[in-house]
Amino acid sequence: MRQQSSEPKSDFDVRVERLFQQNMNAHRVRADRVFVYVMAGQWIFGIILALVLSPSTWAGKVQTTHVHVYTAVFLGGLISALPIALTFLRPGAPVTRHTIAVAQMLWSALLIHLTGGRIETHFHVFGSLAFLAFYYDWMVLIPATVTVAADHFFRGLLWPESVYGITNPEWWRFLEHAFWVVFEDIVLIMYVLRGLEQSRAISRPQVELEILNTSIEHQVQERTRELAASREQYRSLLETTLAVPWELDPDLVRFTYVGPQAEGSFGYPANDWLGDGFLVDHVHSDDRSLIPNLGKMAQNGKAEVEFRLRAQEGHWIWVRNIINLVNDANGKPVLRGIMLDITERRTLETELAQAQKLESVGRLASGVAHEINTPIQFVGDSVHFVRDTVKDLSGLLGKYQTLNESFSSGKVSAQMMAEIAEEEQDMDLPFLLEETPKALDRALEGLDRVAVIVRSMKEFAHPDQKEKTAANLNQAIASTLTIASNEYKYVAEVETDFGELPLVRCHVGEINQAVLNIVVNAAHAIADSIKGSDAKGRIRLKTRHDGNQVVIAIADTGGGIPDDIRDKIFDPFFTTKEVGRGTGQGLAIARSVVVDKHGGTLEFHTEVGQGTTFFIRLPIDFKPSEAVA
Amino acid sequence: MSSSEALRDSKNISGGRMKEKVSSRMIVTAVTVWFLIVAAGLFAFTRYKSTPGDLVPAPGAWPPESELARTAGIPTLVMSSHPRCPCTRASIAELNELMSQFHDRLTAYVLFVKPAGVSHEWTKTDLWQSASRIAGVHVVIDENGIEAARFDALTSGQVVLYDGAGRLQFSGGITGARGHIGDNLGLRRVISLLSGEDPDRTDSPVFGCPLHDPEEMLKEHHDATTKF
Repeated sequence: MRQQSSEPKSDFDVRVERLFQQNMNAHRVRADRVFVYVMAGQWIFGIILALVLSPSTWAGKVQTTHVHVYTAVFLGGLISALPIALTFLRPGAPVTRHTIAVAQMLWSALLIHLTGGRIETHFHVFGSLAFLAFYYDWMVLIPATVTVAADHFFRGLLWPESVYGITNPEWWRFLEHAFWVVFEDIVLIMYVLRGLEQSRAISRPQVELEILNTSIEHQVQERTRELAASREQYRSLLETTLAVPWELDPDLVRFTYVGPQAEGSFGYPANDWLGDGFLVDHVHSDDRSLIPNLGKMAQNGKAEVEFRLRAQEGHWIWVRNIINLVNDANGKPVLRGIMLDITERRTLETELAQAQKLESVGRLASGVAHEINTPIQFVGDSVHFVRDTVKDLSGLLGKYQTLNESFSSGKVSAQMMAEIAEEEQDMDLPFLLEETPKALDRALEGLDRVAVIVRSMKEFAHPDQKEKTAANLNQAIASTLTIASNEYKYVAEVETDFGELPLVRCHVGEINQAVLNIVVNAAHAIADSIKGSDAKGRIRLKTRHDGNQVVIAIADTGGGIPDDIRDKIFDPFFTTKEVGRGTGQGLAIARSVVVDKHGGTLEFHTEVGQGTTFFIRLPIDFKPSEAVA
Repeated sequence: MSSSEALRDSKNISGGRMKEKVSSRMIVTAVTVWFLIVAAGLFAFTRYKSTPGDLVPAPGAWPPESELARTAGIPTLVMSSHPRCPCTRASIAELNELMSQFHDRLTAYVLFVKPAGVSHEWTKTDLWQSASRIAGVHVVIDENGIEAARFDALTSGQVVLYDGAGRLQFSGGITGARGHIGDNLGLRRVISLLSGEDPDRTDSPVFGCPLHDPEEMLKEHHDATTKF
């Protein structure tokens, strides 16, 4: 039967075989090193043996060094020298271990000679064979066995008595000695083959482990690369954006990390931020109360907090922080956030607020103009009347002067008297005397009204200071109502119920804007609800002090807010009014002012068909040193 | 890679292979030469060990001038030894084996030749101790080797065996090689004789050190000849 050619080995099998060979080679190199010591030790032992057992040859009294000593030194040295040299020149090579095998058997022969053929020394042969089996190469037993057999063969041939004790041994006698060597060889070969099999078997899981390790290593390297790239990407994103990432210990209120871009934005090196108390020391005093509460704010999820930080140059920078409360690697809660410079935005907001205010003023201008026009009419009419009266009275006064002169000269005539009486009748002097003071009162009243309107306008349009100041909200609301009167006076009656309020720290101009926007909305709502009728609605403003807050309630009798738009009314640009009647910014601005800028609340209660009441709650936050007269 | 680099690489590779080839050849040569030299050394050493010492025929009858007591009817064995000859260690070991069989049928003497000018202590070596321990062996210090000379012993380890009537039966060594214990023809022959058998020969090579300084012997011979 033809033998099938062996199938090509798989990569795995090739690796197993390669690993096996590597392991074997390493093992044989180690065995070579051991034999270096064995060879050297045997040489030294042989010399000692010769010096102890047979140091000298004698002839009578004459002593000479025994041949054994020379043999041990030179022949023994020669036997050991080449194997030792080969372990350095060719470690692990077959030629090395085969030479060692031959040398080991030669040492057996030499030691047997040096010990005078002692039976015990013959054990060196069998022990050496077992030692050679450590190479796990059964082929090294061949040169060893051949050396022993050859030694017995040639010595048996040349000096049979020294080997067998007789001079005419049978030809096969050397084989009898060799047989016991071969017997041990068979046992050792079985041991070696078994060992090789086991070593090969061990190599398989070793290769599997290597493959697994390599795979894991590749994966780890890949993941590490990806992680490093990802981290680098995040780091690059975080540290190259203008938003400053930071991490804060909420208990110590101390930064544990601040992005390097902080130095560019604020002037302080990133390390400075990590010092104790840095944040508290550099936050504006008005905003400092926010800092200890950052953790609480972020407890229920992401929080957004704005405050002012002092830059190294001394100016204040508004920052907006988006904060998360997370657990660090040790499970400790830390605050992590990003900080954005919103100074420009704040400035723009202020300008926008002012612009919106002026826009409101502009919108209300016609109403205001109308408001001013009426009292001016009064003033004009009254001044005209007084002028005409003064003219008439001047004529009459002239006639009285003539009469007086005539009376002085004694030339008073009845005609003169009649003319004066007629003129008095013509000008209706009693009427004039009665109405002229009234006309002057009306003129003064009109001027007062104009002054109020102008003052209200001035107060409303005055730009807010950058800092909050203590303000009288009742007065502010009254001014706002004045300038807005034209918006509501045709459709609603306004009632005010001002309670005793403390001074409130706020941006009063922005509060006025918020109140104005709500009042205008209320007027528009009432107008829509009373369209086509002569009825008027009602707008009621009530203020009261409630603990550390003040409450401003603005109620109208408009149509109420339908259910489907109640959650949108504070959205910027959301409006139900026709084009040209509003931009949808009013309530958005009011909410921004009350909630974002003053930390207050803006809520409403509405009933369709009945009306809506808005509640503005503002924290008092009053500082007496900053009271505004 | 440029062509010059390729050519240089190719030369390096072939040079490396050549170096390895030469080295392997050298190693094989070295191993062969080494083996031949060692084999030659072992051959010379073994030949030395198999080279016997001088042996002359012993007196055919018990020397009457011998001061060693001989019991009529009982064989007498005399071994002449140099007290410091290492090879004689093996001879004494073989004597021990012999005496273990025949100690009650044999009178045995071991003569330790004491050269002139040395003390008794010089003679009483480990060989003396070993011989003294053998049951049935009488150890004798032989001043100037006179007694040994009566039996014409020249080489340490020489054994002479006389029967009960004083006739020489064997003269030679009882080891197979210098200092080599183990089965040997000399011992077999002595055993055969003591067992009442006829051996193939009545002599065998003696492996040991000379009992006397050859120059002294030459001088004595010359003096004796001149005197004569």
